[in-house]
Amino acid sequence: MTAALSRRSFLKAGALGAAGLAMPDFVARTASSLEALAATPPPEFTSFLDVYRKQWTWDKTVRGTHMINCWYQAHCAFDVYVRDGLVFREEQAAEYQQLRPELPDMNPRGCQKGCCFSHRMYEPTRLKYPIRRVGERGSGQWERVTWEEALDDIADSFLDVVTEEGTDRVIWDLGPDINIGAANAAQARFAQLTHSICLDSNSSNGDGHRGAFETFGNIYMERGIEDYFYSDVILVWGANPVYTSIPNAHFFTEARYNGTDVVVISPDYSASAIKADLWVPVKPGTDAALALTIAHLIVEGDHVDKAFVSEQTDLPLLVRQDTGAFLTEADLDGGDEESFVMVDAAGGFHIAERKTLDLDGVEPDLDATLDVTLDDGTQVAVRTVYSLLKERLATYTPEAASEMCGTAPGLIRRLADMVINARALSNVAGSSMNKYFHGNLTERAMILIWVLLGQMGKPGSGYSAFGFLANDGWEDYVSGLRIPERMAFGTELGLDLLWDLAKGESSEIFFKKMATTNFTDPGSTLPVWSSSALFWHVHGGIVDLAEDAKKWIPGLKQPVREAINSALHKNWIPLQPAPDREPRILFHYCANPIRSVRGSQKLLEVLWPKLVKTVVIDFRMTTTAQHADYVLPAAAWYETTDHKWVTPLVPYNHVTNKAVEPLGESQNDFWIITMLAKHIQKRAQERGITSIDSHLGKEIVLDNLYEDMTMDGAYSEHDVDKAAGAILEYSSNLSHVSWEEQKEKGFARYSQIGLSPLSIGNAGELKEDEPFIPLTYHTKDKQPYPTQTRRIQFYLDHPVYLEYDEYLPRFKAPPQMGGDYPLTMTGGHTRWSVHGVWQDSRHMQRLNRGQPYMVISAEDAAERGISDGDWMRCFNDVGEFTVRSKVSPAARPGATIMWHAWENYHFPGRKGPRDVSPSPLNPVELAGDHPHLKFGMLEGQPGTFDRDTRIEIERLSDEEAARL
Amino acid sequence: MKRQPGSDLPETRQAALERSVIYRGFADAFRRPDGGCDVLDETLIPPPPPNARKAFVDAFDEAISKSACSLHEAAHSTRDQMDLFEELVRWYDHFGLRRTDTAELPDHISVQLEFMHFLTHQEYLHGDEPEAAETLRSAQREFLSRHLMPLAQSIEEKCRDDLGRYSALADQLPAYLALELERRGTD
Amino acid sequence: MSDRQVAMVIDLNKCIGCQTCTIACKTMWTSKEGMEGMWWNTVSTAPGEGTPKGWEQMGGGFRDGKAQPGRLPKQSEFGDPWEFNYEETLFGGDPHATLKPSGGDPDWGTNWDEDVGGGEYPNSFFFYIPRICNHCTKPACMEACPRGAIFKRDEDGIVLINEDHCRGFRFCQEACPYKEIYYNAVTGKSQKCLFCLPRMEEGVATACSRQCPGRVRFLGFLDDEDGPIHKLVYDHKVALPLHPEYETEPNVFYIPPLAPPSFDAEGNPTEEDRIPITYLMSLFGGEVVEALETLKAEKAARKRGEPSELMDTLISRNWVDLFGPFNKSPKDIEAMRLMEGGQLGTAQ
Repeated sequence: MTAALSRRSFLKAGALGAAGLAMPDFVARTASSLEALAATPPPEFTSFLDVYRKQWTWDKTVRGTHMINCWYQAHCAFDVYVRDGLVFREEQAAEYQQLRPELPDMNPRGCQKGCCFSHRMYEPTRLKYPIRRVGERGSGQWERVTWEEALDDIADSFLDVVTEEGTDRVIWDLGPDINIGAANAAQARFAQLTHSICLDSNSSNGDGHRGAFETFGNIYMERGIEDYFYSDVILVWGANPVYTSIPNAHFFTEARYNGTDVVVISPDYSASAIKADLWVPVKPGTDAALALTIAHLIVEGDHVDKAFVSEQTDLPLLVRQDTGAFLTEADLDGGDEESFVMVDAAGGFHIAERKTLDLDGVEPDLDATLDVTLDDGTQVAVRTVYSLLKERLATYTPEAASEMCGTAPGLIRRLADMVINARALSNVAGSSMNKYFHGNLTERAMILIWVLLGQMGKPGSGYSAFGFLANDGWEDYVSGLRIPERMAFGTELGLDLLWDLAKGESSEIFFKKMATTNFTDPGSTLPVWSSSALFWHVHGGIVDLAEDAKKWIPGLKQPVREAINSALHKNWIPLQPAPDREPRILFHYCANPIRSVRGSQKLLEVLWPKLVKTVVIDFRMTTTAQHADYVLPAAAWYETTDHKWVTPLVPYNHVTNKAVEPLGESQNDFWIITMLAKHIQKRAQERGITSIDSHLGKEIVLDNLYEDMTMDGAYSEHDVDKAAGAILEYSSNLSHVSWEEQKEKGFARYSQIGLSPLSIGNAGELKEDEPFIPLTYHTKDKQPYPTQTRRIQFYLDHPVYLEYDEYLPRFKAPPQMGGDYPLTMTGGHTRWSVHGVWQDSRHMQRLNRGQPYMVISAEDAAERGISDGDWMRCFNDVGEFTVRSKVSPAARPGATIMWHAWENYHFPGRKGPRDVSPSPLNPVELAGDHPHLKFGMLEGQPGTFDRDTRIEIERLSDEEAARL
Repeated sequence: MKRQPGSDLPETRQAALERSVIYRGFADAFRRPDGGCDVLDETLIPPPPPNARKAFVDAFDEAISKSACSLHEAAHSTRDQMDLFEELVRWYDHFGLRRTDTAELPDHISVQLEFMHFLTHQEYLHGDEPEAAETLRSAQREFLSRHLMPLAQSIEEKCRDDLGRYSALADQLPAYLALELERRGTD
Repeated sequence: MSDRQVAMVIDLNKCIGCQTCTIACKTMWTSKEGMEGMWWNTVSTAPGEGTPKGWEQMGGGFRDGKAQPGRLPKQSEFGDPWEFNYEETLFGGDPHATLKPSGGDPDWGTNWDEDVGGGEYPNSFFFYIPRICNHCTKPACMEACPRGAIFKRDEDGIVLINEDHCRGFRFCQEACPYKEIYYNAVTGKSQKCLFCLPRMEEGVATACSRQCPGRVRFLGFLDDEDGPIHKLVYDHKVALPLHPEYETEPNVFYIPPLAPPSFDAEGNPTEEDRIPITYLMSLFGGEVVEALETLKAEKAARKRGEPSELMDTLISRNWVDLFGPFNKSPKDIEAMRLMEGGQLGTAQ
């Protein structure tokens, strides 16, 4: 600064011509205009402290919630306190009604993360205007652009790609936070109108509950949270509710006071284990051995509920010993190929009914082994599934199992006693098992316990798998509420399906079949879905990481790449776009694959170069956004109005109200996607493009896209509120409370499970004054299950399951992913964030360690000379990363814990646990061409697995650590 | 009724008018890549470069650019962000102002500059009323020293110096505020 | 002694360590200038150093009625309020840039040893212990203040610092054996938990209580014989003060923690307690033995299907029953001064 500067040096000549007030950021609060305010003498002012001491009230409070998928614990109604267009705080509304006097109510619902979201949404990571990449991808070089520029450019790329290469080159990468509300409806409607591809990321996230799918033909089964009060033994197995179900956890601690025994089964003495009446330590990934031993003790002690398994399961069905296939009516007398056979004690054959589970007096012989003469005269040996199972279980003695799972035989017996003697046995569902390569086998083994004991479908009793409860008006909105579209929707369901319904199939089976059409059907007016795991592996090159899988996975019959190719070739699984059709445009919506996908380092190397555009819609700068071409700023959850799916645990639709305007130029998702359609229409008209055929042969009208998108203006970009209301109005399970009322109160109890394919599998009646109990339509009303045998099915006669000896549940030793290294890298959901959203929140990090760390046992640390807080190199054959240690006696020796959802930029060199997780697909999960082993919504798809990852760790020297 | 600027004004009011215009210029310049050009002298603050939209992001958007220097006071202060928001909203509120729905967060430098634009404009209007003038001056003094000056100094310190106009903005604002504080010290 | 005393019972069997209370308190009270590093409410993993680090070795309180010397905790022992290097490094393409606390790798924070605890695997053990100011019947802080700036309200026994009188000498901080007093370097005053006085005066439970999703905290007047506090402290004798040997007579009480059984050398379950009773006695005194026996016996009674007033009270099926008369919703209190800067605690 030069001494010669004066005030006037700052002014341009003639600048005083513009001497009036110009204040875009303010309005006058106490006068009619800014000019009038300025003309009034200022108020008294002595010092700021006096102002600070003045009473201050809120402008308003509105009901809000957090549109995030925190899943089992979702959701919580909050009062959001607003002043001057800013949210300053939130506090739980806590107005949930007690269902019955003997049950605790749900209040207050909320967690530490929700209680500081107002702080989170204003942190420096918040995006405020659209930006466009100007340097190399990932170089951090951006320029601010207008919405107009961004949307025009994206629209032009979209038109180039779909006209030149096909609509399937455009992919919507949908993460876990899709809301099945208006925002997501806009995305889905856009996708169905343009036949772009939607990625189903549920199994890729490791939440697929494959074992439940293989057994029930369905993963959707979850109870009302209060129902735990009716359990006398609760097994917390593959879950850590003290971290991941914070608002619900009191039901476990309170049930315990009520006399219930809570058992926690986990490798580490976890935050949930400390609340248990019995903690059962187990080696990671070996839980199947434990489960099968309990099953063995059930059988050995004659505790099997024979009536239940005879009626509800495939255990009485006969299996041919020559082929391994179920014996069918066709085998016997040329009858129905889909009808299976039981035998009674007198040797009489009975066809298992497919439309009902009711045995109508038949008493099948569970433990039969016999020879039968087939229709063609050949004689074959047949056995019941039960007899095969019993033989298999016999090897699982507590002593033998102890060798496999590391749990002491006496402890296994004690656990088995508790389980067998339980009046009402339940489990707490989590998604840990799905993240192990053999997690499907583990889950099948676990389910066996409940089923053998007949502990299903009663108060406090039953196996829970995957919680999901959605409105069922969403599909109507997506397919279009206009009359012609609705009629088309009806006919396009397909005659086959309607024929099924006419034949008396249950509505569950009907709607689940309908959902699978989303993966293949050109006529569908629902979006086209594809498996995200398969997409990343094939198009993203992650399969390359599995070249050594044969070394890691004992008994792998063929390279993973071959297994995938063969499954695709046989059309066992659909992949869109097809392997030879390179993706061109990726829209990441509620998704952050470069952080979340195991092995994501390959995506940048293999997939990104194929892309013409990658666009992220988010409110914060994620790792994926760093590698995008455009980042479009979305409104935060207190800045838009919408509603959100939940689970039967807390069967209340939750609403967030727009408390304040979106910050800066950010816009709600509904606006963003509708505007994209508008710009595509505009550019199509300007470029003279009218319509094209999609890759599935449907006509895609591009020059009228906005009109179609908005249903001729009925739901324009400004109508997120109206659209959200319309969805509920069309929902059979939420239309009983008006939208206005729901907004006012912030939540409404669902009136029924409804017909959405994402909920219908819960198969039970949701009552106003009872906790929900799933599967009672099967257990009580005898409706068939959506499986091959129409029963709970433990035997899978698919050739791949036969080849891999997984036709019945069994234990398989965990593979050594990444090589033969001494430590297993386990993980789990952190207490301190939901996905990555709070991982750079100051409040949350100040209560954590501010940096990523790996929990290691005191023993492993001592062996390697590692102290708490040391920097460590973690490595295997696939890669390495650097992280600090947290040494704990609560961690199991040999197993480390890497709590999840750190962004890549939290780690030195931006390499994290995903860099050592090759995560090969499991060939059995690619099986298809089977009555129930096939793709469904969020189920029946290959999962990805990181919990079997093997690593070694070593302490970095002080010099190395100083260089980080 | 709006009073027009004129040379017949007493020196203090004339000065308040000029100051008010300068604050507006700085507020605009920190709000948009091309703002404030109608007011600020080009020899001190060069005109926007051709790549203004990128350079502005590089200079000032910490949510996006790795080398950017935040324009938010919360990023430069150890204070809790919500507490800072509360204090600033109380300042604005006390003087009869309310944020517009589309405004930047209350700790953004352009909002703070705009607030000073208002206070100095008010001083220009009420400069002949001793009580009002003193109130406005003491509020300006305290606001400058509590918020705007420390923020401007921190931005000057952290902003890259190879960004032409934007580096100049970061340099010149504390220089101007120093003049302001000097002047306010002798009021 | 005050005319009446409000008290809190914290159930360690229900506390899940989620720190919602900590955040509720933080966002409500300690975000003001100079308070960034304060945590009027903490939840620590026990055994562990706690917050401030090693507070149990810092002295203060009384022995045989005589005030004991204590030392001042340092800010770093409470955990520094880390700022993060967002603006320097967060969002570029520089592969070496890492988001972390500014000022180097931290080696302590307020919840640093979360879920670590003690013992040897598989006989590991830990539990969570939330702490606030104990609003003691014999406040060592009050006695130590030469300015008479600390007072105990007659109507509810809440202990407050009159900031108009406080000169920041910090004798109170030395004297408090729980190290629940903080020093504000900006204002030069000592500050601490107010038991959410402005909320309580309007019949709204403290933020840490009402916002607790674990339904851990009971509130009420000690002398209210029908209230849960009286039942738990006096009738069932299962709620105990922390470190009674400090002789300040705390008015925050704890239901001691149960734990799953420990294992023998082969890994089979034993009847031994996992948490060493000597450790619990060092925290809650000898009465903890009987309190735990009572809890186990009553749980067993419920398991047999027998009624148990104690278990019903602890379960508190109707959530607002936790809070006695303090059962209103903050949103319904029109005049509530939710954001009044700096001055709370001086109005007597």
